[in-house]
Order: sequence, then structure tokens, then C-alpha cells
Amino acid sequence: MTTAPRDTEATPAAPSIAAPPDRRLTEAIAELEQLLGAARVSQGDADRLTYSRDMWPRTLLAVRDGVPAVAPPDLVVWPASTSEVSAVVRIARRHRLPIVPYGAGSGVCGGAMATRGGIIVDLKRMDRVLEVVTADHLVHAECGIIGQLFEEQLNRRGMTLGHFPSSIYCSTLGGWLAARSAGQLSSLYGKIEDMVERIEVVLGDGRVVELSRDQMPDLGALMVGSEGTLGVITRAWMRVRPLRDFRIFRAYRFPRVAAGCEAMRRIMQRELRPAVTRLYDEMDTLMARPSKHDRPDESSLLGGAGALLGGVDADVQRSVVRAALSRAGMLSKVAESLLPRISSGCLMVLGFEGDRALTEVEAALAHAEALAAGGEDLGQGPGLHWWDRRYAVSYKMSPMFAAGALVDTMEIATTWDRLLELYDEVRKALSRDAVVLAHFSHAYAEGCSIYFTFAAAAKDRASSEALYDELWRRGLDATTRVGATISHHHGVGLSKAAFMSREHGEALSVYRQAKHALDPDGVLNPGKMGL
Amino acid sequence: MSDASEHARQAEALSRQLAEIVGAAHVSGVNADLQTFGSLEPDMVVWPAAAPEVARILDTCRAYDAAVGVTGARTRRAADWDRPARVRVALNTRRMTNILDLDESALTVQAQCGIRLRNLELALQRSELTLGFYPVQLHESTLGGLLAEPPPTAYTPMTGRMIDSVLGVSVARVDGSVIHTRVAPRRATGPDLARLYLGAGADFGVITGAVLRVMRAPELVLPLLTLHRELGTAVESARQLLALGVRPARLRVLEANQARRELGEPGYALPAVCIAVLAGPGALVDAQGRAFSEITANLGGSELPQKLADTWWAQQREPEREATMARPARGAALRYSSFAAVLAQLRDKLGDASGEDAELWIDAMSLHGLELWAPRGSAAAEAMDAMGLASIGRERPPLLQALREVVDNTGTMLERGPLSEPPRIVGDADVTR
Repeated sequence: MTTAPRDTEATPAAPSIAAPPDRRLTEAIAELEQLLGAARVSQGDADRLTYSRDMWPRTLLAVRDGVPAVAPPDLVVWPASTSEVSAVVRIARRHRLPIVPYGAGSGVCGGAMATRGGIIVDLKRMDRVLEVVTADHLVHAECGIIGQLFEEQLNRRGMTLGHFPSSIYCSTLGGWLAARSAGQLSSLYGKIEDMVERIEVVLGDGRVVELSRDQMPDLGALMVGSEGTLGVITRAWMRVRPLRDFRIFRAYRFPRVAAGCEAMRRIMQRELRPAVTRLYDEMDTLMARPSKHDRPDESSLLGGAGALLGGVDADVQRSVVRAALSRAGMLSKVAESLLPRISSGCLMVLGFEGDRALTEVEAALAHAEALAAGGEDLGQGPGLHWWDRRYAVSYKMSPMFAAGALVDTMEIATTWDRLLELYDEVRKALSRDAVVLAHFSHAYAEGCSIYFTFAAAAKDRASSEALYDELWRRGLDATTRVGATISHHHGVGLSKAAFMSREHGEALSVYRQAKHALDPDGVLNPGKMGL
Repeated sequence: MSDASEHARQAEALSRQLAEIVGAAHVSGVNADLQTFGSLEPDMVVWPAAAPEVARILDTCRAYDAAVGVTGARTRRAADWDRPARVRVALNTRRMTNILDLDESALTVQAQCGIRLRNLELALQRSELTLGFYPVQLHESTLGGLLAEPPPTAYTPMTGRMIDSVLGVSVARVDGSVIHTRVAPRRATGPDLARLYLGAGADFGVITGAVLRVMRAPELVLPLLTLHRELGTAVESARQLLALGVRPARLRVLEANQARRELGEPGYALPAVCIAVLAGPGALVDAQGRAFSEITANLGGSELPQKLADTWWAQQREPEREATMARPARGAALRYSSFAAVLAQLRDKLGDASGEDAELWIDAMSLHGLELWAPRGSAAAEAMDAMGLASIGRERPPLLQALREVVDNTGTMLERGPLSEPPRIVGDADVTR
């Protein structure tokens, strides 16, 4: 195995937690304390440690190796208003200190890590719902609000955003917008960029602007997804929908992935809009099969491994997982050869929600399409089970790392004509050194996302990091070769930064030009997104 | 040498360079050709056939410090062109009319910018596909024009705005490069770079082609007309239909004067009419139709005869008929929360006005707002002006100038005036796009 070429930003050295003395910093702290009060400015070790990483799985390798402070910022601030954010940015700019906007830290690409030091701007104090206009189905909110709390406030008024990422308990509205998040019901409600009406943004020079989708061109679409590199999104007007609690779930078994994909394509292209469309490949379906120990959820690899090892001593668990996954390539080959005998096909879950009469008709039409594509009706059970456990996946990763493995997920997307090629190529690229499962979700009339979960193990941190990087390099190399996009909804941050030029080609220069125009001093989240 | 002769010398030299790029037959300085470009008053017109040619033209114009205005089918009223003293080149896309790819599996089409919507739709119809049920009055516009300067009418609840159907764009830039944004159903790989160009005129470059989402021709199209005693309940019925998650192919509300214009005189009063064109699988359309009937009845409205609805819809699909209906209009985007108050104020101002002076219609309805329209020059339009209602399409975002200074620091691309006019009848001499 060759060592992957790595973006230097992607492998931050482990700096000392002790901040170096710096006059710029000292002056900036004095100004920030005057602005926010000392209680909302911290240079303390505990805070710098807490904010030294987000949920990028690669950082867990360092944490497991006893290096918890992966990329500590110089300081952390907690502004409570747009004007305070603006003033913080002006101070940072004056002292040439990087600004890293921070929501709840649930990003999985290293996008909220202060790899060049500077100031983490935690926006969670900006958590108010400012206005709800029921007649217009519009909500004005500050961007630091936690997703679940936002949704609950809307539900109390009979509305929903319709955005349910598995991180909903630990991610913010601003984070969703910054990374172009997708929720589990995106086939019905769309992605976050489809829900935004207007945003308020603090630019790199501290100016505050409002950008609306009604303006032409829609420069708000430049900010959404820019992961804090073009501006700090402080407030948003979001489009919401009436809350509907009538749901229908139905599950099907398909002999192969291709038949399941065909069913999904036919359903979406008939202009039906299921809220949930999930198709698990044979391996994922196998791992998701409930065992007597547990009822694994959609994180089948993680849940399945946990179920198998439940009750076993932690040290033994660690040895077993590491021993098995250090030969992941061989394990994959064995599994592949056994699949024809042990496969239970591919599970597909469809879910509809909305007005009862219309939903029943849509579900019936989709049911007919699924059967026509070769699906075997499994009833509503698997769908209801998935619904009950739909947020559990976000909390399964750390135990696997603790058990000695490395695990990550890769969510890529393309049009239907290339989807199976993408599935085959990426699986082939990863399975030489990892156990690979996949499910297809976030379906659209023109294409779909594939969500790969891969697991492997190596003997120490250095070789684990090398393996981790190599798996990503291979996976994204295959993705861009097929012509697919390298991220459907997790974003880019550091983990995919090296592939941005492959993703965008010459068009990346447009992003760089926008960066130059809107953040001429480069203070906003530097070193990210391959800029 | 005088300024005029220097200008002429520059223009001649540039013309020769452009002829090398596109061939002498595709560059013209002949008055008859130039005059069709209205207020742009170019020194020459150039007709490229492909994106690389467009890019080379822009690069060459930049080297000559010439200014470029881009034109398509010229179906739109002239914008207020900035007319610098520099040599001016009209870049017309009429030769860029190819459909480059039609993917019936992924339901996407890739086409060059100069193709007229009518021709694109005809090609799609041969495969039982459609871009959506956009008003036929847009059919003479080019794809490039509709994407670079989207008219408010390029919207249906079923498809959203036409620019929302764009999966990728190709753009020729002033530095001579051509970029293609990656085609994906959705992505999270940074900003949506295509959005910098959609709706930006040619401020940042020339959209030379696009990949768009298309849809299969629906199994059933069912136009429904419902009658209401007043505009408010007609609007509310449309809003409630949208709240159910129904996405009609067309959704409009007409007040009495406009209803008479579009529906004729059926022999009874039409104080307010809601039009919903439902499209999709038969069983679903039927269910949606039942839901709409129920909403209508609950609001005290009633259904109009199906024959009247069918006739109206047939007329909407006839280009000639639709063209005669199309008039310059003035629109304002409103929220439901303010609609009733705005309407009351408007009626108060209109007093006894009738006929065309009082015609109003409501379009581009979503769950979040609507557009109120009146014929340009009518008493209703003047009242909207007097009330200070923002004119649709005029709002430009902040930061445009900052971006222009970086993307086009030589000012090669001519700035355009505000976008506001719905398409006018094709053939008007005073149009540029």
C-alpha cells in the first residue's frame, strides 16, 4: 500500500495546548474582552481542548493515541448578536487572526477546526427564534440554535422545517447552512439550500449583508455551503411546512442493488415524493439483520459489530475487532464469496408523510412501482424500526474507534445513469483494505446519493492515519473518475479539500475569486475547502 | 488621429481578429445587422457557434479594451445599456442551438444557450419529456436568455423556478476560459457556483450551455377552475392546496376583469377565479382534484364547468393565442400575511376603475408568497407604483460590484439595467434579449 498524498492542512501537527505568547493575540484578547466581557472570551486549556476538533473521524485516531487537543484554537469567543460577530471579525482582521465559525461541532470533515490557530467563534448563544409568520410559512431565526430545539419550537406552532439530519441533536441551523446539509426526509422536503429564503451574513471585513433568493443573481447561494470561508451566516429566514403526522412505511426485498435502484428511479421519476427512500446493499442488509443480542439500526456495521461483541470484555473486543479488520481486505473477499449463499437480498424502506388521502394514494402508486421492479413486500415493520432508531447512527462511531478500528462514511452522489458504476468502482476501491457497506438514500428524479460505511484497522496511529487517508484518496479518486460529486451533504472541510480541484476543475477559480472579493485578507476559516 | 478615426481603426482591427475566430461570414459591421440590436448600438455583431469561440471572443475583446453585450432571441425589452465610448461588440447566440445530450435515464438535457425554448420543448416532446409547463409566451426566448435574465414567469409550482432546474452550467469567461460546473443531483462541495451566473445577465461571463432537469410528460393533466365571491378566498384556496403538498403545473388567481379577459363571458359573474392545473399519475391527480374541490367548498366557492377549464388550458398551450394575451405588466411580490391589506389599499385607490385599468391577476404562487400583477400603464399598475410596492426582478444583491471588480476587472462585459419586464411579443425592434 502506498501512502496517500495528503493536504498539509489535513494532517495537523499536534501542537502544545499551551498557547504561544503573541502580541497580536494579547491585543486582540484585550479588545475582545472589552467587547464581550471576560466571561465570553476564553484562552483556557479546557475550552481550547474542547474546541480543538469537530467530529472528523480521523481526529479520533489521535485522541485514541492520547492526543486529545488535535488543533486547539488560540481562543474561543461566544458572541450573542450579529453586531458582536461583526465586531469580532473586525478585531480578528485588524490583528490578522483567523476566524473559525463554530456551531455544535458535529461536522465530520474537519471544517470547524482551527488548524491555523486563531479564534473559534461559537455561535450557540445566538439561538433565538425571532419571528414566525404562520401565514407565510416563514421563520426567522438566529443560526446558533440547535436543530432539534428549532424543530420543537416549530412543531409547537404546527409547522416543521422538514430537516432531520442524524446529527439533529448536536448540530445548528448555521452549521446546516454552512455545509449544505441534508436531512433524512430530503426526498420530500429537499436539502437545506432548498429551504432557505434569506440569510444575514458577516463578511470578512465585518460588513453585514442580507442576501435573498429573490435577488438576481442569488448570492446567498454562494454563502450557503461555503463552510465559513466567505462569511459567517448569523441569521436566516427559513421556509417551513405544515406539520403532518400521518406516515406510511413499507419495506421491500430486492435480489440485487440494481433492481432496487430501478425501483427508486421509477418512483422518483413518476413525480412521487416519498419522505424516506433507503436501499441497503446486500452486505448492509445482512449486517442490519436483527440478532438476538440487539436490534441493530441503520448503522448496521457499527450496530452489527456491537451486537456480536456485546458482553465481551473490552480488551478482548479490541483485539478481536483489530485482528479482524486488519485483514479487512481478506474479510471482504470472503464475504463476497459467501454472499450468494448467505445473502438475504437488498432491503428497501419507503416512507411517506403528509395529508392522509394524498399520502395513501402516493404510497399505493410507489408500492406498485416497487413490485413491478421485482421487489418483495416485507410490510411496514422494517420501516417503523428504522424510524424509531433513525438518529442512533451518530453515536456509534466512537466505540468502534475505541475498539481499535477506524470507521468513516463517504456520501457521494451522481445521476442515475452513472449510479451503479459509481457503486461498483468505489466499493472496489475501498474493499481491498476495508469492509464496505452501502446504502442508497436522498433520491431525486435525476439521481441519488450513495452512503458508504467503511471500516478497517492498522497497528498504530501513524499507519492508521496513512490507511485512513489512502482509503479516502482511493474512494474519491474513483468518485471523480466516474464523474460523481465527492460530497452530497457532509461538506468538504479538510477531509476532501485535496479533491476540490478534481471536483470543480477550472470552476474552482470562481470560488477563489469570490473568496478574494469577499474576504480579501483571508481571515475566514483559512486552509479549508482547497482554496 | 481623431477619436472617431481611432475608434474606427480599433473596430476594424478587432473585427478582423474576431473573423479569425468565427469566420468572416459570422462577423458583421453592416448597418442592417447592427440596427437590430437597439440601444446597444454596437460597432459589430459576432455570431459564435460554440463555447470555446465565445471564450476567445471575450478574451480578444478584453485585449482590445472593447465592451461586449450578449444577446439571444431579443425577446425582452431593452435594458438600459451602459454605452461606453469604447468599441462595442454584440455577441449573439443564434448559432448556438444544439442539444448536446438527452439522457432519458437520468432525465437531463444538455443544450447550448442559443436554442429557443420552443425548439427545446419540441425535441423533448419527441421523447415524451418536458421541461415543465412554463407559459408558452416564453417559447421564443433562448435558453441562455431565460437563465441569464430569468423572467418572473419562468416558474411553476411543479418545477419551481426554471433556474432551479439547472444542474450545471457552462460559462465562457472574460479571461478566455470556459468552465463547466459539475453535474450532480445535489452536492455539498462548497457554494453553488452556477448561481453566480444564473440571473446575472452576462456580468460575470456568458452562459454558453446548461444541463437541466426534465420530467416525463405527465399521465394526466387536469385543469380546474373554481369560482369565489372574492379574491381573498380564491387566494386562500390556492394556498391551502399548496399546504397539502400539491404542486400544480399552473396555479393562478384572476380577479373579475382579468377573468373576463381570459375566460370570456360565460353568462354569469366571475368575481374571482382560482385556476389549478394538476398533473401527474392519474390516481394522484384525481385525489388532488378531490382535495381541491373540498377546499373550495369549505371556503364557499364552487367549481366551474370542466369544459370552460379545458378551453382555457387549450388556449394557454397555443403559442399564437398566448402571444396575443401577453402584455407588458407590472408585478409585485407579496406575502400572504400582507396580501389582504395591500389588496384593500389597492382597491381603495382604484375606486371605480374597470376593464383593463382594474385587471389584476396572481401568479407564481408558493406556500411562502405570491405575485400580484397588473397591465403596465393601467390604473392598477400606477396604484402599485404609488403604494411603493417593489417591482419584481429589480432587486440586485449587494456585493455585485465587489465581485465584478475581481471577475471582470477590465469591465469587458457591459453592465445591464434592471430586469423587470415580462417578455414582449417577438419582433419588437426595441428589444435586446
